Amino acid sequence: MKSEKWFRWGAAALLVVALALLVLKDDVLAKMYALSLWPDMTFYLTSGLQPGVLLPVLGSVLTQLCPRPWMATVLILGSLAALMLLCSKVSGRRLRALLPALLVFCFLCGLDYAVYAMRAQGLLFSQTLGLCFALLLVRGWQRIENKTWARLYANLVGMFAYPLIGVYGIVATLAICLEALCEGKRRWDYLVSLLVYGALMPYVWAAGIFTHIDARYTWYAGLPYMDFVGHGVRFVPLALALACTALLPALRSWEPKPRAWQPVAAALAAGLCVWGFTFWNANFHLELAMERAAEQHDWEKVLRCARRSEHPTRVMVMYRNVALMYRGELCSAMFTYPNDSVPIDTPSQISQTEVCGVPVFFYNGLINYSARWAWEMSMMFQRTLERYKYLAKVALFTGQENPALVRKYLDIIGTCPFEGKWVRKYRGYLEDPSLLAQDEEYRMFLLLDNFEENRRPSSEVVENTLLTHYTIQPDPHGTMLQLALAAAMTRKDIDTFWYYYDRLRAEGGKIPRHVGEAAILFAYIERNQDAVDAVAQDLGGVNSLTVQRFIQFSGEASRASGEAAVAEAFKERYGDTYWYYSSFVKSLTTD
Amino acid sequence: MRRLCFGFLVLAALLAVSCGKKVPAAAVSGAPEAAAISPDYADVVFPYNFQPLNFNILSPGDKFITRVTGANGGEIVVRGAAVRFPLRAWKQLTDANRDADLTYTVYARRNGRWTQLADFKNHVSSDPIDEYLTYRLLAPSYEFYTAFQIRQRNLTTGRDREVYNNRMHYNPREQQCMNCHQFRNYRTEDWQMHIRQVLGGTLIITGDEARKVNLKTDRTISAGVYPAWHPTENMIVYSVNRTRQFFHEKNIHKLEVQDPASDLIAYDIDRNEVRKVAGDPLAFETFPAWSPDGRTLYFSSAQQPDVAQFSSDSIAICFDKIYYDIVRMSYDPETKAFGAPETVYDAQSQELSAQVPRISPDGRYLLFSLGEYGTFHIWHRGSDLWVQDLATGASYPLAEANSDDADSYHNWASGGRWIVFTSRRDDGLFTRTYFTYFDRDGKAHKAFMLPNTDPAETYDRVLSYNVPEFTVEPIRQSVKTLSHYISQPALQATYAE
Repeated sequence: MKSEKWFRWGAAALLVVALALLVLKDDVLAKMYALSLWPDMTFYLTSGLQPGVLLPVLGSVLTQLCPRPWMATVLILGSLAALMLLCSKVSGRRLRALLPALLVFCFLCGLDYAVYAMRAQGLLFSQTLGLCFALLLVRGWQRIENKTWARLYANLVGMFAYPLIGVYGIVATLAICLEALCEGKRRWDYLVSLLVYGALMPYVWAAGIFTHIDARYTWYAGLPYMDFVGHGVRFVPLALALACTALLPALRSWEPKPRAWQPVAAALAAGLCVWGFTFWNANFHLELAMERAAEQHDWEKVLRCARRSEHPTRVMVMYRNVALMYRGELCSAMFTYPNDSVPIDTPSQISQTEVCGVPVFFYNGLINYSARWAWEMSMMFQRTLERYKYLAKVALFTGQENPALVRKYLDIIGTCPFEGKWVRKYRGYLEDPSLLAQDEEYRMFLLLDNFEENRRPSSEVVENTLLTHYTIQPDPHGTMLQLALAAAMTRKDIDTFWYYYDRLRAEGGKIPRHVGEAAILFAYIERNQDAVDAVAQDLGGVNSLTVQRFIQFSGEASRASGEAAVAEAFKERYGDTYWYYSSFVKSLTTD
Repeated sequence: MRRLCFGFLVLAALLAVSCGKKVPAAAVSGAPEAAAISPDYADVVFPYNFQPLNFNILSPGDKFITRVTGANGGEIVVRGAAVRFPLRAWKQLTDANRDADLTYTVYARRNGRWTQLADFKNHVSSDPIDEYLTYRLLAPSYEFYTAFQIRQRNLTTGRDREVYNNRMHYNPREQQCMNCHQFRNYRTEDWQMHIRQVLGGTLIITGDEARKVNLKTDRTISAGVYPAWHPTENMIVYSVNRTRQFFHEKNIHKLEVQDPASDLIAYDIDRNEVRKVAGDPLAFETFPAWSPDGRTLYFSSAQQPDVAQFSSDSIAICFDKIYYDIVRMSYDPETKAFGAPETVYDAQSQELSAQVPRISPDGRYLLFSLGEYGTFHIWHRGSDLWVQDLATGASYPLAEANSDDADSYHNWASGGRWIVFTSRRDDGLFTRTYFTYFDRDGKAHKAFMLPNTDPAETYDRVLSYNVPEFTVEPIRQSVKTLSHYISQPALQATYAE
């Protein structure tokens, strides 16, 4: 009775912790939705023809039912609760029945940058479903274990569960046979079943039906095995969950002597487990939040996120610059935010391009490259709703594509149950192109499309491509000119800066703050008094705030010594200026 | 009671059967509009032994009935917007109507009333098409190809099977690409394909033997690329290409694939030797093809652009100034010697580029694709199919088969009356396989798309079908057997002077 009470408390505690963590990770859940797609024929032709087909299909369907993170939270909690309930039915209402749910939850919390490069589909639910199906099959056997056809049932599970739920079918067979062996039922019969079905059945299926599957992965069917390599640690909880599911039913009647410290130790161990396996990296979560906010054109939120990391990745810097570009503040605010190039924190081999290439190229007007990477990513990993949306927008914006292509993409997106509104909006643009003029992204695209055609070799890093793209434009205007100046300042490329500075002056209008700061600094560095005077004049004379502040800065800089301490002191006073960026933010990696 | 239920069931079944094959008697006829269908199979000429030309009706209406009647008799009636013809009935109809027309009548129910749309016709040719077509099925990506397949279609039944897929040797760190499958004399006894990257090499199958070869030697610029099996000898001529690709920032073509260097080599299968066939340092030779008698080798050849310090990188600047001609060389099987190159089609003087020469099985026609520049016409929207009558020297476009978009990689069927090619005419991105009838006057007819059993799938699938090659028999190896061959180490070819 006591163990049942602890089970109930444990389950409640696990669900509460899961709820809290899922709320914290709402951007991961939103991303998982964007990186899913309603299963289609192409899906069946690629992943669908594998053993364990049911899991990615159902996983994708469930993910597609969660366009809002709270929906995913509810469904994940529901699936965890179902798993706990099933496990308790199969192995008794004891604390140990929580293990599979705890472990699969740890696996979900461990999802890191690899979500961008996942080949497995429906991962948010597929593994929980696999465990549930395995336990359901075991429960079915337990209900009839004393009947004469229990053996037949076990044989059928051994034979036919594998093609549907992959290795989870083997786990169910193992669990049934182990339990039968432990309970002393027809030992030899079940041992033979264990060997025949557990060890040989996957090979029989592989030889007979799944002949087009790499035989090395026969034993991993239904698991996200294509994402295993190089990420072994991430899959430890999943492997343990599988082992628990196979063993727990056999321990149904094992009742160790209860001890008072056991629940406390279990809670501690569970807490440590969740803490240890959860991916906590702040930049990862901020990047996801920025990406989502950018997609919703919530530039304020993008900038709020940019302020929250003192040491951002370049992906964050690029999203920040996009937000500033849309607000027309790029050259007047970009150096008031932290600038750094912290590496992406992941054991996976994921590049900047894979993390943000598609959206960042799109926001910067290089939509050919955005579409290119959308396809490359679709081929390398999987086709997703998000990638199709960018492909549809690119095909629509170029105006050169055949409308049939846009229609095709919209039809695919339209199969997703919650994308009707999005599809209607873009179908409207297709039917009446004059409506496109109202689209904020399209208006920005027109401003950014004003560049000279160029060609680039195969694979370049996103930011490097963008900086080069902006700094080779011979005659940019307006937004493009601002971007060219921002790129020259980012690269601290003095000659290029002067080239665009002269164009900016020729255009007339106010010199943006950072451009003024850069101009006076570069003139000073080049020891060209005429240039300094001219820039000072551009900035409103020697008494202007920028010039006065620069005189102060240069005076202090010439007297300073001891780089680390100076940098800290200058950051406090000049951290919002281009001078600080130029003098103290070093070794940035943009390629 | 049971009998009563059974009776009702039988009656219901009979009613369903009898109603299912009727066309509406009270249809408003003579609607001026023709049925909009996808793929567009109206007014095409197709072979009598071809699989059903299933299509989707796109015209407005909530219900549809399609009736196909043959001029020589026979009829099929199909209900629904997705028109799928039963294979046996289709075969009977097309067989009975060789060299005759099929008339399609579509009825659409609109606002509760049936309307008969204007008829459209097909012509059934008595010239058969080769039974099998092998092609690659892949997404239109550029450098990454984690999942793609070589498949074979039985063109007479529509059955499609996988020949090989690149996940058989899945490696998340390195990809595997397969390309350039080619068969000798339309038979599958001798054929070859390349494997790139993981377990790379050229798989050459001759009868019951298979060999994986590394054709790259220190004297050649790459492994073999575009192949041409000699029709009678155990020899394959390959182009060897140093290939570069680069991406347009805003150009509609999106991608350029160019060869800053290419030559031709001949691989002697028996001796496992390669030797150079054409290697002018100032010319790019590629896309070899044999005449049916094996006495002439055709290929594309371009002069290196006249730019200072031409290099692999500078080709990104002068990519649109590279024009290929169609050139041929005689070959003497006795001495194994090649003659001097002779231009057959001069595209360069027109500032155009001719690619992929293919000689008709009767040796009379040269088929090629003609684009604005360069070598990879599938990315060039202006690319069209052309033929040259080798007897008269007259060249002309296959206007009836061409489209406004890229029409490229093409092949003759063994009878010489059917041409298969790839085209991006449907949406500008996804390559589809098309067929056209090439009549006895050397004229092509309206092209039609390779159908699928599910007509929606034909159009909706976001995959490209490319490198179509005809054979008269199926590939003999299973996926597993090919996978086994591919897993073997590659035999190094030697270079012979």
